[in-house]
Amino acid sequence: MPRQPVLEVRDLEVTFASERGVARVVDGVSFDLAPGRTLGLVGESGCGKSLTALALLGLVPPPGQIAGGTVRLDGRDLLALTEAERDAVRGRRIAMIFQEPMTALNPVFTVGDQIAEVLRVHGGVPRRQALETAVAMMGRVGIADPQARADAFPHQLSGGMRQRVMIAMAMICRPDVLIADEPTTALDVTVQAQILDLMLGMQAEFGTAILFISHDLGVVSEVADDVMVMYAGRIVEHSPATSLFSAPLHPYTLGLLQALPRVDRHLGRPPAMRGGMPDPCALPRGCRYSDRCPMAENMCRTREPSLNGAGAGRWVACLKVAP
Amino acid sequence: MARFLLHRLWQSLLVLAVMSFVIYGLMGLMPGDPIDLMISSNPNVTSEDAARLRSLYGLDKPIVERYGNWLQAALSGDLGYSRAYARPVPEVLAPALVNTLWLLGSTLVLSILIALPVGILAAARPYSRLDYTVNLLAFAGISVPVFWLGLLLIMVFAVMLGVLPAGGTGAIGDAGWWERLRYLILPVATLTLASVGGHTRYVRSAMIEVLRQDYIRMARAKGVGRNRVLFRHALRNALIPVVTVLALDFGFLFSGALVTETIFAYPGMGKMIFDAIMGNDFNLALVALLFATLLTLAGNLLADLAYAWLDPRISYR
Repeated sequence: MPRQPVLEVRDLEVTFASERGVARVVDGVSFDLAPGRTLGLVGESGCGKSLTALALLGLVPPPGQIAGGTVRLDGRDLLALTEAERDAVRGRRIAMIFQEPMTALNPVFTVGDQIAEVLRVHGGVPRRQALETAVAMMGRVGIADPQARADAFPHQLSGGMRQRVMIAMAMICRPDVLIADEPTTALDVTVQAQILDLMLGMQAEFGTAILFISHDLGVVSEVADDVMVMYAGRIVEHSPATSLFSAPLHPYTLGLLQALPRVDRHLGRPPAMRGGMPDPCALPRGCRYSDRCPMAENMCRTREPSLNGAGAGRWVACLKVAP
Repeated sequence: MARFLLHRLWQSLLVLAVMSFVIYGLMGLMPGDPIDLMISSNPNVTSEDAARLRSLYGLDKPIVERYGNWLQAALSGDLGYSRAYARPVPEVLAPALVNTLWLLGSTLVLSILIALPVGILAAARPYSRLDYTVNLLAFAGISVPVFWLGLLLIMVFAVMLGVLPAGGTGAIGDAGWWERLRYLILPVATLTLASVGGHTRYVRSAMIEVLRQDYIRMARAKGVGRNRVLFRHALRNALIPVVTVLALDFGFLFSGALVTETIFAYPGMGKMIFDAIMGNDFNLALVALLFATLLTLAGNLLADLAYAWLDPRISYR
């Protein structure tokens, strides 16, 4: 029984204007996020995952801009708010964790200050009290001796420690939604597992809805309840994680899964997918995947498929699977 | 930190000692010595007299020995007499030093006060109309020759409008701060207009570089407002390269204000050094040049200290 979604995204569009024309790098993305659930968003580099995440917060870097769609948090459209009203939502109701914990922390402020700042800009908690709460939060995310570490600068901490600091920063206001953009990609595998456990533990405690963005299907399979596959700015498949990994519907999803190295089957190098992400200024006609798809037929090169229901809570954008 | 400071002071002292020898040597290489000047003003001096005077003053000794003697005297506080002014060097130097510090201090402060906000605003909206305007004006300021700008200001404000004095530092005696200030306005305006463009460009490019960083996006994602991100998160990082430029500029401005001081007949260090060299005023030129070196070294030392204060990644041991 799916619960009432906390975040509803409809027809989100992000465009980049360049000399070669307008590129629609996020094109009609729609999804719901329910409390306590994790939605994975996977795809190759440059497919529009990170821009989707930034668009939810209204932080698309110029010259990119949000060209359409709605992002409703408890029914209120965030994209229709003023910048100051969005500032009040960011970090408090919707928090974000970035990929590179080294570069995402400001090198000239102590990590304690940076965590406490979230409390200080939202709700105007006084400096000392904010710092105390920050230290407590650092303890909660598994940082040993938080009192001393709060005075450390980012460069004095290890990568895993910095990612814990980011999580403390993101979770300190107990947000309803956490957007995690490749949160473990820059970390060692052992640290990766610890960070994932930490995130899931926090989610269980606070009932946070997580949008988990990654190009690593292995990681996504461990954390996500549902998974969206993105290709060239569009969602091509949206399925519960278990069915997506056991029986992928879209040929692109299948390609991604086949490209994964496996330990339980044949040894050797998995087949690499041919081709690369199409140029967003010169997308192929018809289905965007048609020029790489091994199943493509003539109709795929003339008609663009829409995301259609395929039963059992699954959606797929493929003329051959769900016409 | 204290050890670092001691180390740097020791280093600066060493550089100063080397520079004093270099400057002394270059002075010695200059054509003519004090005896030549005496001869030219008194045709009755015979060449035997000249040789006697040279040995009397020690001018026939090798340069290293002469330098040693000078250093010994200088260290005991005797910087010698200025030939042109017939007064001890410190007495001649002090007022010029004060004038220059006023001129350059005001220029630097004014330039920073303008360059910081303007550069930040331009960087906040790169390639906007405001940014283009700022860049245009900055390049205009960088490109305009100082002598032309100074003459233009004199033409407009001293000759045509008659509201400001064309040069000098005011009447003899205590004329009150406003009277003093009036004489500072045009030279400070000239130097500021010439340096503010470069400073603005540095602030702008440093800010643009910082605003591209992930931690700026992270700060925005935390809900920190645009202005707080600009002035707290970004500025602190952007100041690190800007401080370097300002520190180097300090030393440069000190000795490089010659043109401005000449145009405005402003009795500062730049003009004094120039006149001293042209007039074979060895003692004065030597000490004045050493002061310029000292201030450049001090500027660099200050920059090093500012780094440590601004950037926790830099620690001095």
